[in-house]
Amino acid sequence: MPSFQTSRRTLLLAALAGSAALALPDGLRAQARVAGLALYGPPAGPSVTLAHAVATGKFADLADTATMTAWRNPDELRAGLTSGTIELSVVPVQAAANLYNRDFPIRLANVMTNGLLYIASGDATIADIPDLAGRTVAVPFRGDTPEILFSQLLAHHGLNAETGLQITYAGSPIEAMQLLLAGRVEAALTAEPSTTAAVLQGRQAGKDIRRVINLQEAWGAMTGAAPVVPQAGLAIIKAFLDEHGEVVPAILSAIETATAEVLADPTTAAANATDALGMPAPLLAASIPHSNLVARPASDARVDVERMLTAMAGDDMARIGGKLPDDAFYL
Amino acid sequence: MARKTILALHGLALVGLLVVAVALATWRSALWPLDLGFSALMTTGGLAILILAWGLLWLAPLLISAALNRHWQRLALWPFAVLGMIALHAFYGPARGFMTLDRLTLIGALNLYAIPVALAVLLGSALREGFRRKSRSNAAMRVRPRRTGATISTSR
Repeated sequence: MPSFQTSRRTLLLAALAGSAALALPDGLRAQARVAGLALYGPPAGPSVTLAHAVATGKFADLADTATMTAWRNPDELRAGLTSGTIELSVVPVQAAANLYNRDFPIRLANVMTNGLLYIASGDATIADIPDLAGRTVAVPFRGDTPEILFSQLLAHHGLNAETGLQITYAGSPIEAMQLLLAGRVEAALTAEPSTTAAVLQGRQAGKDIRRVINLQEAWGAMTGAAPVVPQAGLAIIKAFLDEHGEVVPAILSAIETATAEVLADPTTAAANATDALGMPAPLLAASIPHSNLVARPASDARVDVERMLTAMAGDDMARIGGKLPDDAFYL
Repeated sequence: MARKTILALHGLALVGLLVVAVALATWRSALWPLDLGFSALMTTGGLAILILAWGLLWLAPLLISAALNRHWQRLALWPFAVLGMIALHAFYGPARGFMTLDRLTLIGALNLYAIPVALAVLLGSALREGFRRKSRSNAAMRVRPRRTGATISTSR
């Protein structure tokens, strides 16, 4: 029968073990935790994944509280990043690369969508980029990723953006959608979930608005690679990495699990994300299948990211901050 | 029936039509999980696009309805006006950015035009009832003192 009587030797060993444990770094002493995990993202597909992860408690083992907040436009994102208010956010990869190349302490942790850009139109004769010749096209996000991608595709197909077609610049994807539905343009460059909104609204009015060109496929055909536009991913600021770097693998793992759940059950994910994103759940649910949601570690997606950045830069590397980001950009 | 009652019934019918329109929009586009605000937004957006696309043509069912004397005549106008709009859609719709009737299907076209046409007919009917009842009431007020021999002088 084992004896549970405490001996002097046992007490000594326990004291030594306790002292050693206290001397260990924080990360090994217990499961590392963050007091408040504040995630940010655009009101679009990848943020549904984050909002769903927060709503289903995927970060409960890592943080006392977890929140997901949607920023409304790239300017709000840039202001948040530079002021330090935003430490973890889904960002356009091109914007993150640009900031990194300007010595802003930002890293790309993963890629959360393989692209969510489409040309929407009610004209069934438009099926590829060359079909846009001479057409009126609404283009939002002037100077940002979608417009740069679109310009590169036009140039690749020998279309001059100023003379080959009539571009109407819209203030937002929603405005582009409205121009299309009102019949003021023949096609519109839109991102999910705006494309889905156009399709749904068109259906209510007897208009057959469709995703006539999948920009990811057009991009793949142009670059001779997979139809992948690693458009957005989770970026993390160095201050967060310095303070809580040990929890990042667990955060990425939680996002991977959440992505699988979102793709398997868009309706539930949309219901979980509607408040955080301030967008209607039916719209989010219908847009998820077209948002190409993924959770690829940044290092795995590097080849695709560099291909996209190279093609986007074209002959003007200043578009991505002068060069391709180096190894340290990819977590 | 009193004018107020008839107009209240028209209002009730209007609410009923809007509820049916929202329900149809939700079902047709599978807007799940249900968000009444979004369904209503999609419905009003769809109605607005239809109204703007056909413009003053919507005055036709409205004015014809207002010109018809009997309730049953206005009710009978509804299916004819819907068929008229579907015929217009078939001939001129694609040029205005709408789906061809082949693609929309006849059932789809009925879904599309039944409620907006009903709204136009109902509005015409409400205008008819509102103005007619008002004039009858005025006429009754004018003759009543003479019939009853009252001393209140409302007529000259």
